[in-house]
Amino acid sequence: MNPATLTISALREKYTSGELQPVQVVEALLDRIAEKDGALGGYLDIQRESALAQARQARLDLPLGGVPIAIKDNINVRGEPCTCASQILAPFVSPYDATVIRRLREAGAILLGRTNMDEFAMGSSTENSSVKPTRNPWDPSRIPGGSSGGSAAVVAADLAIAALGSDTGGSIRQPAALCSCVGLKPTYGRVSRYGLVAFASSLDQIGPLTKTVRDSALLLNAIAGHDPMENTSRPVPVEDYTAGLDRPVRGLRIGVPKEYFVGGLDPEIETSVRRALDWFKSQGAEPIEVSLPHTSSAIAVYYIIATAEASANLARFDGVRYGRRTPEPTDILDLYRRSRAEGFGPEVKRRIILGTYVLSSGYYDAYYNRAQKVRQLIRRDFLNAFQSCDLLLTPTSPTPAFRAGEKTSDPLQMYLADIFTIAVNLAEVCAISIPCGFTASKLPIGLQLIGPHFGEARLLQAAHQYEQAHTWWKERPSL
Amino acid sequence: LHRNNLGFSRPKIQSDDAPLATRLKKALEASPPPRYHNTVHHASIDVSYVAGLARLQLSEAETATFQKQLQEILGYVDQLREVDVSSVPDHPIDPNLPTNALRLDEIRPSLPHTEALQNAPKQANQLLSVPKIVE
Repeated sequence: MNPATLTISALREKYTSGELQPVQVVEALLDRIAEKDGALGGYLDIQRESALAQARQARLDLPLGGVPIAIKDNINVRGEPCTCASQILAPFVSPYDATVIRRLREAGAILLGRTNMDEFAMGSSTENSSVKPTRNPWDPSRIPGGSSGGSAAVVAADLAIAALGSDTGGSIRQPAALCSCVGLKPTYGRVSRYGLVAFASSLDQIGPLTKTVRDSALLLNAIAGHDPMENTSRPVPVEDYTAGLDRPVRGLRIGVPKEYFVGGLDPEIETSVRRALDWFKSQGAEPIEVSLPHTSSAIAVYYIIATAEASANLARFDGVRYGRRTPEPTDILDLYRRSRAEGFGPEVKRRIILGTYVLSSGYYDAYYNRAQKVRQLIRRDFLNAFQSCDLLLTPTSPTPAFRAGEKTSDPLQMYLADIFTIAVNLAEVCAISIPCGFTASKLPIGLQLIGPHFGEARLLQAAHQYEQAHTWWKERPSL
Repeated sequence: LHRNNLGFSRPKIQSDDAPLATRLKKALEASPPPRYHNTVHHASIDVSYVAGLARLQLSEAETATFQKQLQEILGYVDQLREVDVSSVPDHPIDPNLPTNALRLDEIRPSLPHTEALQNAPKQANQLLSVPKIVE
């Protein structure tokens, strides 16, 4: 048994029994990364000495004591690079820890390394990384999803025990679905974003990518909670998210939004997701058809609000305070224009321009304000649906992993890949993607469960019950 | 007086403020903010102009590619014009977002000067250095 293949809970049991020591686990992971990650491209940076030092000092009495975690490259870890896979941050070294990192350290976790992503989390395939692409561990000719593609790929390929990602429109759930791991987007306000490089501040959330639902609950236990440094984190009490996992799903009311089972959905995915619904029925859960009438507007709303917020958030990259600066600028405007031109990749530039446009004088009401209004209608759709059901069940992605290069020249096609995940961020509710099968050509399929605001406990319970009654989560790619 | 959760108080608007409030309200009604709802149809984007606003220098090739791609994306998002939003107030306030959280204006530990500047691409005398701005 290679310790790299263990889940958090299995690892913790082996620590308790004395069967394993943290240094052995970190060494096993480092060896496997050295052997496999050259082809996979999941990591941008490995802090070898630091990880071993943390392993030697690990406190096994803490909830995540000795558990190595990989971190998406847009979360600040003091003393380590934080580049968002962008050239504009290539020279950057974090002077402080994000709140989630401080909490992971306090829970005893070992920070292993930093994972690849679409530049500034803008993308659905990790092809927008300015450093390198990440491959799908199930088929290296295909993308791992994005933007947390590195985090999903290293968890699925057993190059990490678990990872953190961020989700603005599906960036945790979609790569989890495409790589066959568990990805949780918590409710907006559940996890502090202090120290997460901001993309779209009204949508961004940090969450775990793990091998099992129980591991997801364990990580959420560590990172959730109010943070005085982050005004949008909410003072809602943090439950023990593992406490109710073993409760059966009998009586659970599962809403099936009719708008999510229409044209464009891959037939193999539809079959797997409907089978998952049949399983819930067989366990005494009650399926209810619901309607989310504004589903078809979600992508348009997202690409106005997210780009508007991104254009404002990314204004800070100006070549003055940190990051890349063009050599020999002629004046201050030239300094801004050329530093940004040289530092940002095409997708980031495209979104900054779109966001600047929809906020500009004369267009603000037509685009931004209208999108905000439609966002409220989308939010109402979810609140209405949760009047009659406890959870929603949908596919995570309309297709399995697509081929590298297939959508890079057509940004709109790339955006449409997020159809089932985006509305969740707009409505600020929580959702999880779990493995629910494979296509005939052995590509993973993800099931999305969506819960109401701060409904993580029941969401995790239903996901855990489904997962443990099936064996999808145990299957591993051959690398 | 309202008391917020940090224990200090802020004054409620007193009744003798009313004339000012009334004057402001009247002034706003006399000159309503410009509205653009029905003025923009078949929107077109001038990519090089907007890139200037965003402080981004684009090559000719980039400008041409973005022009085509963004025009297509704007065509797609135009579908929002068809959505009936009459039931949503003009400037919706998200009920899930907190209102301003105030705290006492006290000096607290913060990033040391040297660490705050450690990533600056150019500095002089412990300050950020930029090209000359004023003559």
